[in-house]
Amino acid sequence: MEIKKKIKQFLDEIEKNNKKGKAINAILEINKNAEKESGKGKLSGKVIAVKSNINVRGMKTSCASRTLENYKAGYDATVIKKIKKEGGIIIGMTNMDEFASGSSGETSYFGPTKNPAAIALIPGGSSSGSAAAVAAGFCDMSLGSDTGGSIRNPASHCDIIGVKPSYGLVSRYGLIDLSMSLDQIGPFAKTVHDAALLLEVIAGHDEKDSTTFNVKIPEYSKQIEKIPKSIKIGISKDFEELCQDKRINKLIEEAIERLCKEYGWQKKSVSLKYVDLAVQTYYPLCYVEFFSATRKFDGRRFGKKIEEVCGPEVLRRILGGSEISRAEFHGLYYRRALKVKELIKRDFEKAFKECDIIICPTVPKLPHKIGSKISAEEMYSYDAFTIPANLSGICALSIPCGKIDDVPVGMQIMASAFQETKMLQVARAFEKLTEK
Amino acid sequence: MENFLWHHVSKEEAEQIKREAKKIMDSFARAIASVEKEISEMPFVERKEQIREESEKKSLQDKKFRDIMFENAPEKEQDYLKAERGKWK
Repeated sequence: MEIKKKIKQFLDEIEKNNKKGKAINAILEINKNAEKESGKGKLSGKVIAVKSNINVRGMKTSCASRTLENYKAGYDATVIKKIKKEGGIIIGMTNMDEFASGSSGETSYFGPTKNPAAIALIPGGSSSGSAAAVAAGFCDMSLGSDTGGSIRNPASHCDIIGVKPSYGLVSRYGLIDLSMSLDQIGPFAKTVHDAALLLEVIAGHDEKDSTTFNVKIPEYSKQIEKIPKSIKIGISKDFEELCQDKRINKLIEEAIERLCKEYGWQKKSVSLKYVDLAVQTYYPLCYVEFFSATRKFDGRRFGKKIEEVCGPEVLRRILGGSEISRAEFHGLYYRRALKVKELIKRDFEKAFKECDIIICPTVPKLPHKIGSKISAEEMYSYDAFTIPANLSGICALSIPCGKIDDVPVGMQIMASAFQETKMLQVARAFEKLTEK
Repeated sequence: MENFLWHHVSKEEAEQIKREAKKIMDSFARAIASVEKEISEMPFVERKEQIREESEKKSLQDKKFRDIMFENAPEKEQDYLKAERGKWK
Protein backbone atom coordinates (compact mmCIF):
# COMPACT_ATOMS: atom_id res chain seq x y z
CA MET A 1 0.00 0.00 0.00
CA GLU A 2 1.19 3.47 -0.79
CA ILE A 3 2.64 4.98 2.36
CA LYS A 4 0.66 8.23 2.18
CA LYS A 5 -2.55 6.23 1.97
CA LYS A 6 -1.50 4.01 4.89
CA ILE A 7 -0.66 6.97 7.13
CA LYS A 8 -3.97 8.60 6.22
CA GLN A 9 -5.84 5.40 7.18
CA PHE A 10 -4.17 5.35 10.60
CA LEU A 11 -4.80 9.08 11.12
CA ASP A 12 -8.46 8.61 10.16
CA GLU A 13 -8.79 5.78 12.69
CA ILE A 14 -7.15 7.95 15.37
CA GLU A 15 -9.52 10.81 14.52
CA LYS A 16 -12.48 8.42 14.72
CA ASN A 17 -11.69 6.54 17.96
CA ASN A 18 -8.96 8.23 20.00
CA LYS A 19 -10.81 11.20 21.54
CA LYS A 20 -14.18 10.55 19.89
CA GLY A 21 -16.05 7.28 19.22
CA LYS A 22 -14.60 4.59 21.50
CA ALA A 23 -12.45 7.33 23.14
CA ILE A 24 -9.47 5.00 23.61
CA ASN A 25 -7.23 7.96 24.60
CA ALA A 26 -4.06 6.16 23.51
CA ILE A 27 -2.45 8.96 21.48
CA LEU A 28 -1.46 12.22 23.16
CA GLU A 29 0.21 13.97 20.23
CA ILE A 30 0.26 13.40 16.47
CA ASN A 31 3.45 13.90 14.48
CA LYS A 32 2.46 16.40 11.81
CA ASN A 33 5.60 15.62 9.82
CA ALA A 34 5.03 11.84 9.74
CA GLU A 35 4.60 11.65 5.98
CA LYS A 36 7.74 13.68 5.24
CA GLU A 37 9.84 11.45 7.52
CA SER A 38 9.20 8.17 5.68
CA GLY A 39 12.35 6.59 4.32
CA LYS A 40 13.93 3.38 3.09
CA GLY A 41 15.19 0.54 5.25
CA LYS A 42 14.06 -2.46 7.28
CA LEU A 43 11.13 -0.46 8.69
CA SER A 44 10.13 1.15 5.43
CA GLY A 45 6.36 1.63 5.43
CA LYS A 46 5.97 0.72 9.11
CA VAL A 47 4.05 3.23 11.22
CA ILE A 48 5.18 3.41 14.86
CA ALA A 49 3.82 5.13 17.98
CA VAL A 50 6.12 6.01 20.88
CA LYS A 51 5.56 6.04 24.64
CA SER A 52 5.69 9.59 25.99
CA ASN A 53 8.79 8.93 28.12
CA ILE A 54 11.05 8.38 25.08
CA ASN A 55 12.52 11.52 23.50
CA VAL A 56 11.49 12.24 19.92
CA ARG A 57 12.97 15.54 18.81
CA GLY A 58 10.35 18.28 18.56
CA MET A 59 7.59 16.14 20.13
CA LYS A 60 6.20 16.42 23.65
CA THR A 61 7.84 13.96 26.05
CA SER A 62 5.37 14.65 28.83
CA CYS A 63 5.51 11.29 30.67
CA ALA A 64 1.74 11.87 30.83
CA SER A 65 2.39 14.31 33.66
CA ARG A 66 1.48 17.91 34.35
CA THR A 67 5.13 18.31 35.40
CA LEU A 68 6.28 18.03 31.79
CA GLU A 69 3.02 18.75 29.97
CA ASN A 70 4.66 21.30 27.63
CA TYR A 71 8.15 19.76 27.54
CA LYS A 72 9.47 19.33 24.03
CA ALA A 73 12.34 16.91 23.40
CA GLY A 74 15.47 18.58 22.06
CA TYR A 75 16.98 15.35 20.71
CA ASP A 76 16.11 11.86 19.54
CA ALA A 77 16.62 8.88 21.87
CA THR A 78 19.00 6.30 20.38
CA VAL A 79 16.09 3.93 19.62
CA ILE A 80 14.33 6.72 17.69
CA LYS A 81 17.47 7.51 15.68
CA LYS A 82 17.70 3.83 14.75
CA ILE A 83 14.03 3.66 13.74
CA LYS A 84 14.34 6.77 11.57
CA LYS A 85 17.53 5.42 9.97
CA GLU A 86 15.64 2.26 8.95
CA GLY A 87 12.78 4.23 7.41
CA GLY A 88 10.22 3.84 10.23
CA ILE A 89 7.55 6.52 10.52
CA ILE A 90 6.78 7.99 13.95
CA ILE A 91 3.06 8.72 13.97
CA GLY A 92 2.80 10.14 17.48
CA MET A 93 3.32 9.97 21.22
CA THR A 94 1.25 7.67 23.42
CA ASN A 95 -0.52 7.94 26.75
CA MET A 96 0.92 6.10 29.77
CA ASP A 97 0.76 5.92 33.53
CA GLU A 98 2.21 9.14 34.91
CA PHE A 99 6.02 8.77 34.90
CA ALA A 100 5.48 5.03 34.25
CA SER A 101 4.20 4.72 37.83
CA GLY A 102 1.31 2.33 37.48
CA SER A 103 0.15 -1.05 36.23
CA SER A 104 -3.29 -0.09 34.96
CA GLY A 105 -3.04 2.89 32.60
CA GLU A 106 -5.25 4.92 34.94
CA THR A 107 -2.76 7.33 36.53
CA SER A 108 -2.16 9.59 33.50
CA TYR A 109 -2.73 13.33 33.98
CA PHE A 110 -4.40 13.22 30.56
CA GLY A 111 -6.99 10.66 31.65
CA PRO A 112 -7.02 6.86 31.58
CA THR A 113 -6.48 4.83 28.42
CA LYS A 114 -9.24 2.38 27.50
CA ASN A 115 -8.63 -1.21 26.48
CA PRO A 116 -9.64 -1.74 22.83
CA ALA A 117 -9.97 -5.49 23.50
CA ALA A 118 -12.30 -5.04 26.52
CA ILE A 119 -13.48 -1.45 26.52
CA ALA A 120 -14.67 -1.09 30.15
CA LEU A 121 -11.50 -2.62 31.59
CA ILE A 122 -8.02 -1.28 32.19
CA PRO A 123 -5.55 -1.79 29.33
CA GLY A 124 -2.72 -2.41 31.80
CA GLY A 125 0.34 -0.26 32.24
CA SER A 126 2.42 1.57 32.38
CA SER A 127 2.78 1.52 28.56
CA SER A 128 -1.02 1.65 28.26
CA GLY A 129 -1.24 3.94 25.22
CA SER A 130 1.42 2.08 23.25
CA ALA A 131 -0.38 -1.25 23.71
CA ALA A 132 -3.83 0.23 23.10
CA ALA A 133 -2.62 2.09 19.97
CA VAL A 134 -1.53 -1.19 18.35
CA ALA A 135 -4.65 -3.06 19.49
CA ALA A 136 -6.94 -0.26 18.25
CA GLY A 137 -5.32 -0.14 14.81
CA PHE A 138 -3.78 3.34 15.25
CA CYS A 139 -0.34 2.11 14.08
CA ASP A 140 1.58 -1.02 13.04
CA MET A 141 3.90 -1.17 16.04
CA SER A 142 4.86 0.86 19.06
CA LEU A 143 7.56 1.34 21.65
CA GLY A 144 7.08 1.01 25.38
CA SER A 145 9.35 0.73 28.40
CA ASP A 146 9.33 -2.14 30.88
CA THR A 147 10.63 -1.78 34.44
CA GLY A 148 8.51 -4.40 36.21
CA GLY A 149 6.14 -5.52 33.46
CA SER A 150 5.07 -2.27 31.80
CA ILE A 151 5.26 -3.77 28.30
CA ARG A 152 4.14 -7.35 28.97
CA ASN A 153 1.26 -6.49 31.32
CA PRO A 154 -0.61 -4.20 28.83
CA ALA A 155 0.27 -6.55 25.96
CA SER A 156 -1.49 -9.32 27.88
CA HIS A 157 -4.63 -7.26 28.62
CA CYS A 158 -4.82 -5.77 25.09
CA ASP A 159 -4.32 -9.11 23.28
CA ILE A 160 -1.08 -8.25 21.44
CA ILE A 161 2.62 -9.13 21.65
CA GLY A 162 4.99 -7.19 23.90
CA VAL A 163 8.70 -7.84 24.38
CA LYS A 164 10.96 -6.92 27.29
CA PRO A 165 14.52 -7.35 26.04
CA SER A 166 17.39 -8.51 28.26
CA TYR A 167 18.83 -5.71 30.38
CA GLY A 168 21.61 -4.17 28.30
CA LEU A 169 20.33 -5.20 24.86
CA VAL A 170 18.62 -1.90 24.00
CA SER A 171 19.97 1.58 24.70
CA ARG A 172 18.07 3.63 27.26
CA TYR A 173 19.67 6.89 26.11
CA GLY A 174 16.80 9.36 25.77
CA LEU A 175 14.42 7.40 28.00
CA ILE A 176 13.13 9.33 31.01
CA ASP A 177 13.87 6.76 33.67
CA LEU A 178 11.63 5.22 36.29
CA SER A 179 14.18 2.87 37.84
CA MET A 180 17.48 2.95 36.01
CA SER A 181 18.74 -0.47 37.07
CA LEU A 182 15.63 -2.18 35.66
CA ASP A 183 14.25 -0.09 32.75
CA GLN A 184 14.33 -1.47 29.20
CA ILE A 185 12.71 -0.17 26.00
CA GLY A 186 10.90 -2.78 23.90
CA PRO A 187 8.38 -3.30 21.09
CA PHE A 188 4.64 -3.98 20.82
CA ALA A 189 3.12 -5.51 17.67
CA LYS A 190 0.27 -7.68 16.46
CA THR A 191 2.61 -10.37 15.10
CA VAL A 192 5.80 -12.00 16.36
CA HIS A 193 7.46 -11.02 13.07
CA ASP A 194 6.79 -7.30 13.55
CA ALA A 195 7.89 -7.39 17.20
CA ALA A 196 11.09 -9.22 16.17
CA LEU A 197 11.74 -6.76 13.35
CA LEU A 198 11.40 -3.69 15.57
CA LEU A 199 13.58 -5.35 18.24
CA GLU A 200 16.39 -6.10 15.78
CA VAL A 201 16.38 -2.43 14.69
CA ILE A 202 16.50 -0.89 18.17
CA ALA A 203 18.89 -3.43 19.79
CA GLY A 204 22.64 -3.02 20.00
CA HIS A 205 25.51 -1.38 21.84
CA ASP A 206 25.41 2.37 22.35
CA GLU A 207 28.33 4.36 23.70
CA LYS A 208 25.80 6.77 25.23
CA ASP A 209 24.42 4.01 27.50
CA SER A 210 27.19 2.24 29.38
CA THR A 211 24.86 -0.59 30.43
CA THR A 212 24.47 -1.82 26.84
CA PHE A 213 26.41 -4.94 25.92
CA ASN A 214 28.46 -5.25 22.77
CA VAL A 215 26.76 -8.39 21.44
CA LYS A 216 26.04 -9.34 17.84
CA ILE A 217 22.37 -8.72 17.07
CA PRO A 218 20.82 -11.54 15.03
CA GLU A 219 18.20 -10.90 12.38
CA TYR A 220 15.41 -11.97 14.72
CA SER A 221 12.72 -11.46 12.06
CA LYS A 222 14.35 -14.12 9.86
CA GLN A 223 15.52 -16.44 12.65
CA ILE A 224 12.00 -16.83 14.05
CA GLU A 225 10.91 -19.02 11.17
CA LYS A 226 13.28 -21.78 12.34
CA ILE A 227 11.34 -23.93 14.79
CA PRO A 228 13.72 -25.48 17.35
CA LYS A 229 13.73 -29.30 17.19
CA SER A 230 14.21 -29.77 20.88
CA ILE A 231 12.97 -27.44 23.61
CA LYS A 232 12.63 -28.08 27.33
CA ILE A 233 9.81 -25.92 28.69
CA GLY A 234 10.32 -25.03 32.32
CA ILE A 235 7.19 -24.95 34.43
CA SER A 236 7.24 -23.75 38.01
CA LYS A 237 4.75 -24.66 40.73
CA ASP A 238 5.85 -21.42 42.42
CA PHE A 239 4.06 -19.38 39.74
CA GLU A 240 1.03 -21.69 39.75
CA GLU A 241 0.52 -21.19 43.48
CA LEU A 242 0.70 -17.39 43.16
CA CYS A 243 -1.83 -17.23 40.34
CA GLN A 244 -5.01 -15.57 41.65
CA ASP A 245 -7.31 -16.95 38.93
CA LYS A 246 -6.97 -20.69 38.37
CA ARG A 247 -8.70 -20.39 34.97
CA ILE A 248 -5.60 -18.51 33.77
CA ASN A 249 -3.36 -21.39 34.91
CA LYS A 250 -5.55 -23.83 32.99
CA LEU A 251 -5.30 -21.80 29.77
CA ILE A 252 -1.50 -21.71 30.04
CA GLU A 253 -1.30 -25.46 30.79
CA GLU A 254 -3.35 -26.16 27.65
CA ALA A 255 -1.06 -23.96 25.56
CA ILE A 256 2.02 -25.81 26.85
CA GLU A 257 0.38 -29.15 26.07
CA ARG A 258 -0.29 -28.00 22.51
CA LEU A 259 3.34 -26.92 22.04
CA CYS A 260 4.63 -30.25 23.36
CA LYS A 261 2.21 -32.29 21.26
CA GLU A 262 2.77 -30.38 18.01
CA TYR A 263 6.56 -30.00 18.17
CA GLY A 264 7.60 -32.94 20.35
CA TRP A 265 8.98 -30.59 23.02
CA GLN A 266 9.35 -31.62 26.67
CA LYS A 267 8.13 -30.19 29.96
CA LYS A 268 10.47 -29.84 32.92
CA SER A 269 9.47 -28.85 36.41
CA VAL A 270 11.77 -26.15 37.83
CA SER A 271 12.03 -24.54 41.24
CA LEU A 272 11.91 -20.75 41.61
CA LYS A 273 11.56 -20.55 45.36
CA TYR A 274 12.12 -16.80 45.74
CA VAL A 275 9.66 -15.49 43.12
CA ASP A 276 7.04 -14.92 45.83
CA LEU A 277 9.30 -12.10 47.08
CA ALA A 278 9.56 -10.37 43.69
CA VAL A 279 6.99 -7.62 44.37
CA GLN A 280 8.38 -6.93 47.86
CA THR A 281 11.91 -6.74 46.43
CA TYR A 282 11.04 -4.62 43.42
CA TYR A 283 9.18 -1.74 45.04
CA PRO A 284 11.87 -0.60 47.51
CA LEU A 285 14.33 -0.53 44.57
CA CYS A 286 11.82 1.27 42.39
CA TYR A 287 10.81 3.83 45.04
CA VAL A 288 14.42 4.78 45.82
CA GLU A 289 15.61 4.94 42.21
CA PHE A 290 12.50 6.89 41.18
CA PHE A 291 13.00 9.37 44.01
CA SER A 292 16.57 9.88 42.81
CA ALA A 293 15.52 10.16 39.14
CA THR A 294 12.89 12.81 39.84
CA ARG A 295 15.22 15.24 41.61
CA LYS A 296 15.84 16.92 38.24
CA PHE A 297 12.18 17.91 37.98
CA ASP A 298 12.62 20.97 40.14
CA GLY A 299 10.92 23.45 37.80
CA ARG A 300 14.10 25.38 36.99
CA ARG A 301 15.21 24.30 33.54
CA PHE A 302 11.92 22.87 32.35
CA GLY A 303 8.44 21.99 33.49
CA LYS A 304 7.09 22.34 37.00
CA LYS A 305 8.25 21.07 40.37
CA ILE A 306 7.07 17.47 40.42
CA GLU A 307 5.84 17.24 44.02
CA GLU A 308 3.56 20.24 43.51
CA VAL A 309 1.68 18.93 40.47
CA CYS A 310 1.92 15.12 40.35
CA GLY A 311 -0.84 12.61 41.03
CA PRO A 312 -1.10 10.34 44.12
CA GLU A 313 0.82 7.29 42.84
CA VAL A 314 3.83 9.33 41.72
CA LEU A 315 3.78 11.16 45.04
CA ARG A 316 3.59 7.84 46.93
CA ARG A 317 6.77 6.66 45.21
CA ILE A 318 8.62 9.96 45.73
CA LEU A 319 7.69 10.28 49.39
CA GLY A 320 8.24 6.57 50.03
CA GLY A 321 11.61 6.66 48.25
CA SER A 322 12.65 9.78 50.14
CA GLU A 323 11.67 8.22 53.46
CA ILE A 324 13.38 4.84 53.07
CA SER A 325 16.60 6.29 51.62
CA ARG A 326 17.15 8.40 54.76
CA ALA A 327 20.49 7.78 56.45
CA GLU A 328 18.88 6.34 59.59
CA PHE A 329 17.49 3.44 57.52
CA HIS A 330 20.85 2.65 55.92
CA GLY A 331 20.77 -0.85 54.52
CA LEU A 332 17.32 -1.70 55.82
CA TYR A 333 15.35 -1.36 52.60
CA TYR A 334 17.32 -0.70 49.40
CA ARG A 335 20.46 -2.68 50.20
CA ARG A 336 18.49 -5.64 51.48
CA ALA A 337 16.28 -5.57 48.37
CA LEU A 338 19.41 -5.58 46.19
CA LYS A 339 20.52 -8.79 47.88
CA VAL A 340 17.17 -10.52 47.36
CA LYS A 341 17.31 -9.35 43.73
CA GLU A 342 20.57 -11.30 43.46
CA LEU A 343 18.91 -14.38 45.05
CA ILE A 344 16.13 -14.25 42.45
CA LYS A 345 18.67 -13.83 39.65
CA ARG A 346 20.59 -16.91 40.83
CA ASP A 347 17.33 -18.83 41.08
CA PHE A 348 16.67 -18.18 37.38
CA GLU A 349 20.27 -18.99 36.37
CA LYS A 350 19.90 -22.35 38.10
CA ALA A 351 16.52 -23.01 36.48
CA PHE A 352 17.85 -22.21 33.00
CA LYS A 353 20.49 -24.94 33.43
CA GLU A 354 17.60 -27.42 33.42
CA CYS A 355 15.37 -25.90 30.71
CA ASP A 356 15.49 -23.67 27.63
CA ILE A 357 12.57 -21.40 28.38
CA ILE A 358 10.13 -20.86 31.22
CA ILE A 359 6.43 -20.38 30.56
CA CYS A 360 3.85 -18.92 32.96
CA PRO A 361 0.91 -16.52 32.80
CA THR A 362 1.90 -12.89 32.12
CA VAL A 363 -0.51 -11.52 34.72
CA PRO A 364 -1.94 -13.51 37.68
CA LYS A 365 -5.47 -12.08 37.40
CA LEU A 366 -7.91 -10.53 34.94
CA PRO A 367 -7.97 -6.72 34.57
CA HIS A 368 -10.36 -4.62 36.68
CA LYS A 369 -12.88 -2.00 35.56
CA ILE A 370 -11.44 1.47 35.01
CA GLY A 371 -11.90 3.55 38.16
CA SER A 372 -12.35 0.58 40.54
CA LYS A 373 -11.27 1.08 44.12
CA ILE A 374 -8.28 -1.13 44.90
CA SER A 375 -5.37 -0.92 47.33
CA ALA A 376 -1.79 -0.14 46.32
CA GLU A 377 -0.76 -3.70 47.25
CA GLU A 378 -3.49 -5.14 45.00
CA MET A 379 -2.34 -2.89 42.16
CA TYR A 380 1.30 -3.91 42.66
CA SER A 381 0.36 -7.60 42.53
CA TYR A 382 -0.52 -7.28 38.82
CA ASP A 383 3.22 -7.40 38.16
CA ALA A 384 4.02 -10.42 40.36
CA PHE A 385 4.90 -12.62 37.35
CA THR A 386 6.62 -9.98 35.23
CA ILE A 387 8.89 -8.39 37.85
CA PRO A 388 11.18 -11.48 38.21
CA ALA A 389 12.45 -11.04 34.62
CA ASN A 390 13.42 -7.44 35.35
CA LEU A 391 15.11 -8.34 38.62
CA SER A 392 17.13 -11.09 36.95
CA GLY A 393 17.91 -9.16 33.74
CA ILE A 394 16.58 -11.90 31.44
CA CYS A 395 14.35 -11.45 28.36
CA ALA A 396 10.62 -12.14 28.38
CA LEU A 397 7.59 -11.56 26.21
CA SER A 398 3.82 -11.81 26.35
CA ILE A 399 1.81 -13.44 23.57
CA PRO A 400 -1.99 -13.79 23.32
CA CYS A 401 -3.06 -17.19 24.62
CA GLY A 402 -6.87 -17.13 24.65
CA LYS A 403 -9.74 -15.48 26.47
CA ILE A 404 -11.65 -15.91 29.74
CA ASP A 405 -15.10 -14.29 29.84
CA ASP A 406 -14.11 -12.53 26.60
CA VAL A 407 -11.10 -10.93 28.32
CA PRO A 408 -7.67 -11.55 26.73
CA VAL A 409 -5.05 -13.57 28.61
CA GLY A 410 -1.34 -13.43 27.80
CA MET A 411 1.25 -16.17 28.08
CA GLN A 412 4.72 -15.17 29.25
CA ILE A 413 7.77 -16.81 27.66
CA MET A 414 11.07 -16.17 29.45
CA ALA A 415 14.60 -17.06 28.35
CA SER A 416 18.14 -16.47 29.66
CA ALA A 417 19.76 -13.10 29.09
CA PHE A 418 20.44 -12.45 25.38
CA GLN A 419 18.54 -15.56 24.29
CA GLU A 420 15.97 -13.44 22.45
CA THR A 421 16.22 -15.60 19.31
CA LYS A 422 15.14 -18.73 21.15
CA MET A 423 12.37 -16.88 22.99
CA LEU A 424 11.00 -15.39 19.76
CA GLN A 425 11.24 -18.76 17.95
CA VAL A 426 9.08 -20.37 20.64
CA ALA A 427 6.63 -17.46 20.40
CA ARG A 428 6.48 -17.81 16.60
CA ALA A 429 5.93 -21.57 16.97
CA PHE A 430 2.99 -20.87 19.28
CA GLU A 431 1.65 -18.17 16.96
CA LYS A 432 1.62 -20.72 14.11
CA LEU A 433 -0.58 -23.01 16.22
CA THR A 434 -3.07 -20.22 16.85
CA GLU A 435 -3.18 -19.39 13.13
CA LYS A 436 -4.45 -22.87 12.34
CA MET B 1 -9.06 1.75 49.37
CA GLU B 2 -8.94 4.28 46.55
CA ASN B 3 -9.04 4.40 42.81
CA PHE B 4 -5.94 5.10 40.76
CA LEU B 5 -7.31 7.85 38.54
CA TRP B 6 -5.22 11.02 38.48
CA HIS B 7 -6.38 13.78 40.79
CA HIS B 8 -4.90 16.80 42.51
CA VAL B 9 -3.36 15.86 45.86
CA SER B 10 -4.16 18.05 48.87
CA LYS B 11 -1.68 18.62 51.72
CA GLU B 12 -3.71 16.35 53.98
CA GLU B 13 -3.78 13.59 51.37
CA ALA B 14 -0.03 13.99 50.81
CA GLU B 15 0.56 13.35 54.52
CA GLN B 16 -1.66 10.27 54.38
CA ILE B 17 0.15 9.02 51.25
CA LYS B 18 3.50 9.44 53.02
CA ARG B 19 2.35 7.39 55.99
CA GLU B 20 0.90 4.69 53.71
CA ALA B 21 4.05 4.51 51.60
CA LYS B 22 6.16 3.88 54.68
CA LYS B 23 3.68 1.27 55.90
CA ILE B 24 3.86 -0.56 52.55
CA MET B 25 7.66 -0.45 52.59
CA ASP B 26 7.72 -1.77 56.15
CA SER B 27 5.46 -4.69 55.24
CA PHE B 28 7.69 -5.46 52.24
CA ALA B 29 10.80 -5.28 54.44
CA ARG B 30 9.19 -7.77 56.85
CA ALA B 31 8.49 -10.17 53.95
CA ILE B 32 12.07 -9.91 52.78
CA ALA B 33 13.24 -10.67 56.32
CA SER B 34 12.05 -14.26 55.76
CA VAL B 35 15.25 -14.83 53.75
CA GLU B 36 17.48 -12.93 56.17
CA LYS B 37 19.73 -15.97 56.65
CA GLU B 38 20.32 -16.45 52.91
CA ILE B 39 21.04 -12.78 52.23
CA SER B 40 23.26 -12.31 55.28
CA GLU B 41 25.58 -14.98 53.87
CA MET B 42 25.81 -13.28 50.47
CA PRO B 43 28.90 -11.29 49.64
CA PHE B 44 28.04 -7.74 48.76
CA VAL B 45 30.32 -5.77 46.49
CA GLU B 46 30.37 -2.10 47.35
CA ARG B 47 30.43 0.06 44.25
CA LYS B 48 33.41 2.38 44.09
CA GLU B 49 32.58 5.99 43.57
CA GLN B 50 32.43 6.65 39.88
CA ILE B 51 32.27 9.99 38.22
CA ARG B 52 31.51 10.32 34.54
CA GLU B 53 33.98 12.36 32.53
CA GLU B 54 32.29 15.41 31.14
CA SER B 55 33.27 16.53 27.68
CA GLU B 56 32.22 19.62 25.78
CA LYS B 57 28.57 19.10 24.88
CA LYS B 58 27.99 19.07 21.13
CA SER B 59 24.28 19.53 21.82
CA LEU B 60 24.89 23.13 22.88
CA GLN B 61 26.25 23.92 19.43
CA ASP B 62 23.05 22.54 17.89
CA LYS B 63 20.78 25.55 17.28
CA LYS B 64 17.53 23.59 17.23
CA PHE B 65 18.42 21.86 20.53
CA ARG B 66 19.26 25.23 22.06
CA ASP B 67 16.02 26.81 20.82
CA ILE B 68 13.92 23.94 22.22
CA MET B 69 15.83 24.06 25.54
CA PHE B 70 14.99 27.77 25.93
CA GLU B 71 11.42 27.11 24.82
CA ASN B 72 11.11 24.55 27.65
CA ALA B 73 12.51 26.88 30.32
CA PRO B 74 9.88 28.41 32.63
CA GLU B 75 11.89 31.63 33.15
CA LYS B 76 14.62 33.02 30.93
CA GLU B 77 16.33 36.28 29.98
CA GLN B 78 18.36 36.64 26.79
CA ASP B 79 20.96 33.86 26.94
CA TYR B 80 20.23 32.77 30.51
CA LEU B 81 17.83 30.46 32.31
CA LYS B 82 16.61 32.20 35.45
CA ALA B 83 16.32 30.39 38.76
CA GLU B 84 16.15 31.94 42.20
CA ARG B 85 18.54 30.47 44.71
CA GLY B 86 16.86 27.71 46.68
CA LYS B 87 13.57 28.00 44.77
CA TRP B 88 13.58 24.32 43.93
CA LYS B 89 13.96 23.12 47.50
